[in-house]
Amino acid sequence: MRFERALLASTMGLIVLSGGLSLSVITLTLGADLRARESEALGTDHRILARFLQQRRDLLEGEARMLADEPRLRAVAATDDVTRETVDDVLSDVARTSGATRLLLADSAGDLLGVVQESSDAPVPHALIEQALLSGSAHEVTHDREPVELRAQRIAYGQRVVGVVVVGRRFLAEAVAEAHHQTGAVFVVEHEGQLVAWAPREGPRAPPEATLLELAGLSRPSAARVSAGPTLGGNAETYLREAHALHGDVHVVAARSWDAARAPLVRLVVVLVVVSLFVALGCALVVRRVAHLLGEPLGELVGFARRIASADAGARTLPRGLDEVAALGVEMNRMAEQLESGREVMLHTQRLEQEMSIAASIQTSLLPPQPRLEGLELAAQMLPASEVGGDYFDIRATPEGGWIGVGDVTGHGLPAGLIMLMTQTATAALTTGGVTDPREVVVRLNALLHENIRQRLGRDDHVTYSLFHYDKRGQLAFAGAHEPVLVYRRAQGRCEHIDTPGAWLGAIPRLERATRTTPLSLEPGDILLLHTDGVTETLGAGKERFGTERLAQALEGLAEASAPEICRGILAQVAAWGPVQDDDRTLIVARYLGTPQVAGAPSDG
Amino acid sequence: MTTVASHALIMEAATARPLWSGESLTVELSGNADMRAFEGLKGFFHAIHEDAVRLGLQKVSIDLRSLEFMSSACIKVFVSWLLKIQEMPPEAQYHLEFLSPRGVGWQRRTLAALSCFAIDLVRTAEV
Repeated sequence: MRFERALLASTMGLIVLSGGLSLSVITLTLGADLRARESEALGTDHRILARFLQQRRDLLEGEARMLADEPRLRAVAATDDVTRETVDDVLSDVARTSGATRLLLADSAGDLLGVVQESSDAPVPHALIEQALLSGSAHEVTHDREPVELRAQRIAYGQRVVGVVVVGRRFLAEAVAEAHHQTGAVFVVEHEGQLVAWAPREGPRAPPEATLLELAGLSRPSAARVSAGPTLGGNAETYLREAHALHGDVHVVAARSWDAARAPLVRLVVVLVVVSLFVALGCALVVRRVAHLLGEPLGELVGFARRIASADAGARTLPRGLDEVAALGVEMNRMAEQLESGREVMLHTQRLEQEMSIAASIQTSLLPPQPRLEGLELAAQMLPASEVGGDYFDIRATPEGGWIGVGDVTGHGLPAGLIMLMTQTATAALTTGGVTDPREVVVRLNALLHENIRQRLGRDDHVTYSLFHYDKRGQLAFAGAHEPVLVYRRAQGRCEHIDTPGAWLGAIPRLERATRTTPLSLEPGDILLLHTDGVTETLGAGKERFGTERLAQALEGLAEASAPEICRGILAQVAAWGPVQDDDRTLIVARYLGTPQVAGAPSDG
Repeated sequence: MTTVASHALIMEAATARPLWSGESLTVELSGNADMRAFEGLKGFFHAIHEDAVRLGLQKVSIDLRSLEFMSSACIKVFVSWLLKIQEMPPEAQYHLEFLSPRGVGWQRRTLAALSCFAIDLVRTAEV
């Protein structure tokens, strides 16, 4: 999944999750609080209704007392021979004046004298009358389609009781309507499965009869729960209700619309949802912007990393984006530079190693495998350093004797190997054709090397070089400046140091003036020792070099050994002196054996 | 400017120090100038050459008396220096005077070979 999409999806998921959780918590918390408050309000509704009922009962009680003092009723009650018509006239007149629903008059024995009421089949409340005669007043609720509150009051003249007046009123519906008016709650009064009173009866919030029946039919004393109501105005409405026993088997239910109560909460939730959607939209835009700022540079960095991984070491990225991403780009560029540098170093090292290998191959492959010159016991060995040092030696036989060359190129590696190769091939070419003067060869060799080294290769190297012409008769002649020659004189048992005057090759074009041939005679048993500076400049543990003197002592010590043994012995001493070899070491040992016997010629001795 | 711009070169095993008296310039070499000293000495003697040309010196002295050893690579620096002087117009050329101790064979042989390149420009003195 792309970074931008993943970031957007995860962020939006988090926003939706947190928003949903927040809304759920808000809804549940506020809903529970609202439910508690509504339940409390239902209790208040009942108390208000009860208060209104009590107020009316109190009024009814006052009315009963007042009627007990009404002169005509008192007179009728106290008179024994009053006619029935007179009683009915008085009662009708009083009832009309007071507006009472029922009005009864009984004598002191509890016998009914007269009655005014809506329904003729309403029973006479004898128990109520009896109780009023005994205690002065009594109260009762009877039912005539709807509850009728009855209040009985004793009529007396002083201590003489003459009768009882009973007044009845229907005020439950009125009290319920007033309680609804004050509280806004729905009130339903049920008696024996019949609705006897309810409010509101009119208006947009007046529940239909089906709702009223359901509210009343489910009522249980002290029960309070939400019931799903029937359709109201096309919408299902839910009520929260609480039922109380009013008196006897009359129950009153106070109900409040749960939908109406929680409408503000629903509106709040809707507002929150809308706000959350806008916040989520804003977040999505911000996240998309951030993802864009992060994702695009990161994508470039990924591509950049892939290019580096695919060996495109020259690849670079343009650091951009947020500071941290740009810094990452800078660091990756630095890493790529180091990688490129490391690769270059590695390639350079590989190239050098390859050069070293080639140079070593050049240097060693051209060495004479088994050098032989008539009249000489020869041994020669070159120990190349790990970095080719440019040592050179060659031994070539000629009819009259031969040539021995030794030298060292100032420099290391492949260039030194190439110059050494030039020296070797040029020497080989120049020493043919009957040439016997080494000076002539050295001068011509110098001109050739100068041309090649300075003009063609453009280098500043030069070559220390000595060329020896050997005559079978023990006569040597040499030219060219190199390391001093050591000659072990058997007769003296000591080494002779012989300088090699002249100039180094390759530095200047002409060396005629600086070059001369130096003769050197060998007696039988004498040993000629040629070397390169890698032997004498070997550094010992005490920072002292092996030196020419120590080389001469080594030769003197090994003089009686064979030439190969001398060669190996000296190199072993040098290696013991300085185990670390940082330059080529070359040694040529030539013991003059005397004039060789020529077939048919007389011997010297 | 009437003084040398070159600075002393102090390496791990060797030191090269220009000594300017106000009229003459002497370069004092000491220690072991092995292969590792090559690059340092190359730059150092280039600067000395620049000083000698700028100051119009007739001679630069090189004191080798405290020099214990010099590798062939470092000797190459002298060869290059000498050839550089030779390439200059004759009137601008200056001499190199090498001061060496008596009896030190490698210095004697080296200076003898060096002299062969320019007999007129190189002077050696054992002191």
